[in-house]
Amino acid sequence: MRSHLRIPLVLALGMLPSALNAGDHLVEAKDISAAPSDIVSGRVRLPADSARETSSWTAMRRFEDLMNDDFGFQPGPGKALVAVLTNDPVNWELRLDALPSGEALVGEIHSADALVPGGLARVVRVPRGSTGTTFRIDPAESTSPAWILVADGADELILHTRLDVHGAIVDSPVALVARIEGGTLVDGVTRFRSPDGVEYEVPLATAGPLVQADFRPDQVGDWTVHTIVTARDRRGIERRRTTQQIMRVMRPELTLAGDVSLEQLGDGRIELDVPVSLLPQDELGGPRRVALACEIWGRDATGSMVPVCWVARMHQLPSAGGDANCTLRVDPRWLALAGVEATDLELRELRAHSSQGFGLLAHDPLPGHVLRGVVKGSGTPPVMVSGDMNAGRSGEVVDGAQRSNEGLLSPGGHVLLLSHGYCTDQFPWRTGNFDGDVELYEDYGQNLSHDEFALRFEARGRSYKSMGIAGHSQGGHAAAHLFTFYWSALDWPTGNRRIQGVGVPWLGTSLAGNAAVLGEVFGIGCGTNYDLTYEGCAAWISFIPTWVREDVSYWTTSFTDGWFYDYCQIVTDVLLADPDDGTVERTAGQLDGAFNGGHKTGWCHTRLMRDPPQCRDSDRNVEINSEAAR
Amino acid sequence: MMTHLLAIALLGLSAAAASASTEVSTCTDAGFVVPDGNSAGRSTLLTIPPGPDPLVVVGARLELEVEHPWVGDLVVRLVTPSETMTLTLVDRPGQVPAGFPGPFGCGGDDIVATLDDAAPVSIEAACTTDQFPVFTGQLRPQTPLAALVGVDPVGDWRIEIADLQSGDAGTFVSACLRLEVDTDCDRDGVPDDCVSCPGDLDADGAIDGSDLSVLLGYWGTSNQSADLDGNGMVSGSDLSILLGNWGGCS
Repeated sequence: MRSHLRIPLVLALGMLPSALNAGDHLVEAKDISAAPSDIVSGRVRLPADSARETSSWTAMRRFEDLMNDDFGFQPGPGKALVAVLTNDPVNWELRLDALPSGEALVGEIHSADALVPGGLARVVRVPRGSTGTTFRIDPAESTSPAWILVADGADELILHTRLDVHGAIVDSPVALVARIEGGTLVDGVTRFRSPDGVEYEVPLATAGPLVQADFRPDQVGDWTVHTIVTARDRRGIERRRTTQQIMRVMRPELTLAGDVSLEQLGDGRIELDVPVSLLPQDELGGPRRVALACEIWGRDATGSMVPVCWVARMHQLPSAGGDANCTLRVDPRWLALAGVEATDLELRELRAHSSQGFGLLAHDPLPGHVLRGVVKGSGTPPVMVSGDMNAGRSGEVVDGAQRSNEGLLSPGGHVLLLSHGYCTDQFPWRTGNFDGDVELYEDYGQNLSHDEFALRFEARGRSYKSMGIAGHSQGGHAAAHLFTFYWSALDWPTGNRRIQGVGVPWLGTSLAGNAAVLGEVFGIGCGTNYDLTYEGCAAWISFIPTWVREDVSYWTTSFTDGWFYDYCQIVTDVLLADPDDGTVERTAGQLDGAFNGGHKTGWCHTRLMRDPPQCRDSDRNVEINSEAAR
Repeated sequence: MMTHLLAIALLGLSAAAASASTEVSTCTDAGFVVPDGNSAGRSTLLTIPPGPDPLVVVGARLELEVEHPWVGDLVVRLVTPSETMTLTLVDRPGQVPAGFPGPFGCGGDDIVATLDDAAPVSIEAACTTDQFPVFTGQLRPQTPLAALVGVDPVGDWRIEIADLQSGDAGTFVSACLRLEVDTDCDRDGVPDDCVSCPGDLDADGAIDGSDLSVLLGYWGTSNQSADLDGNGMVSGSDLSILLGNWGGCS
């Protein structure tokens, strides 16, 4: 038993009203639970490696790197193009000679706005039937940096890469793991570029069954990770493949620091006391929050260990470093439902994630904590899982966002809040399709984590009795995050489902990593958003229980797919797996356990794409308007 | 206003032993629409008729049924017959600046509950998102009903109900005021026995010189305890009763 004086992070429930009165920017975190079926299905467990992979059948490289390489390729049967991504494409020349026709094609300038706001590209498509190409790129008078994107049409040869950790910690080892699908890896390197712009190149090497690049990041922040490989397809043709990722490197803000203890509260709930050790808060950082979770297992009447429930909560850490305690609470009705003895519980999969990007800060898969305590019998099993078993009062508050009442149409009403997503400059919804109490969430040009975005929703919700949210893109994540982690007006709507998501990359999008890499061309734009990466989303979604998902309806769209070279956005199209809406792949737009409203072609993610923006689809909007809880 | 008396059980006038409290109840099911977003609200009367003995409240609970889709809008007050005391029993339950239930209070539907000081849970803390009616069973009121102890129960009690936030309207369905009462023959707000030995003003079981001193001390006043014939004045007729019973009480 450690003898240090520990700082309790929990405010007693009875203190809550006065704490909240102290400032109206405090938000109460929920005591979250999930049913044992969510443990068995893996929904609330650390994501599988495959869920965290970034995949690519294209190659994107700096122009300087390409100078020493082949300016040609043998097209495969799929989509093929060459693009120069630069902020002054007018000063670049791109010419492609297709074989065998010898047809010479000159690249046209396209918007790459979907990739990076304001982004431009000079693009040339490879004609169908070409058996080979050579292309020539000339920067002419340009002094601007450029990246060259080559999609060679061999979309069965795919590079998959991932980091071997769920959260990179500064000065700790990390490995970029690579594998090739549809061929064999010849060689490759990974370039780790620090937030300060220092680049380290690490060759890919065989390490047991894996091919990986080992690295030790020495700086906190968002690194870009650019993996470049040569791979041989099944016909023996060598091709280039690259992936572009973000690696969020964190300080070890929190480490697990001892045995978990339990006590039973006056209302019967079992409180788990998790000792942690904290670093002092970074002077430059804002409020730091961690999502803590663990599984509870118990012994049933047959003597077998069975899952009881999963519990979690968002904690705001004190600014001071040192020893502290984080608490989690278990509703005893879960024990009764599982038919386990309350005196013989086991803790598993104890983990703490940063609220920013959900990088894993600490993890103990089998702590071996056998929680034996004097716990009253859990009584008669409830007939069904009730809402207050899934989400309980914690009495613990976090700093919320500041409320603004400007421009509210329905203060005090029951509203449907229409929201945009990440880094947008235009409202996406066709508001005329909605009636009743409808409010617009307009917060343009923002780059927020799901947590920050959700807290802004919460602040807006303080002006309404209840709200449902129809979220476009990241607005869907933020709504689900709010409903999961914090008490808000989103807990009070009546009607069908409280969250509607259109074009939400629930499982992430490769554009987050690609945009980060292209930051050196186009500037930071709205900034990198690790939460929207495959790895960020995979970690985040492991905190979204089924009861939240069941309150979500979602829709996906993609371009009209005819006989021609079809896409929503010509550049992002080849960075995503078809079908896609120009930002979100259909496969990554799925939320397992939610209501899938369907997939519709002929609609793209945003404006400036080939088909109309998906939130302008009146048919769907009318459906959302009638179905959404509010 | 249709108010009906459900049950009244009063103590006998001449209970010799120490009296036990009993319950008087008055109920109404004359429902009405609660004006939406109107702080004035509406009220209804619950009448306790007079009985043979003076009474005093020693305990109270209120059974309340209100249909309302957002109970956090509601304020319910109970006004004593003398109108000297107003208790706010329900005050926009769950209203907090942020957090749960929220700035607009508890968003659940309906109250079908008994407000009782002995309840383990306060109506302020009883809100959940998935219980219907949201307020049910025994709940502690915002202001303890114990404040009514010592009040004369006889007369018209008024229940005021107001909806302070527009947008959701509801209906008052019914209420039952159940008062635990005891006799209070000397009307001092403290339960006592209505003694069967008129003249034993010091309650020592005998009528003697000390009782005579008490009576003479109130001579010419309207003191209720010394006004043995209840004519409103301590006078010769009261003295006659005292002298007529001189000696020990049987």
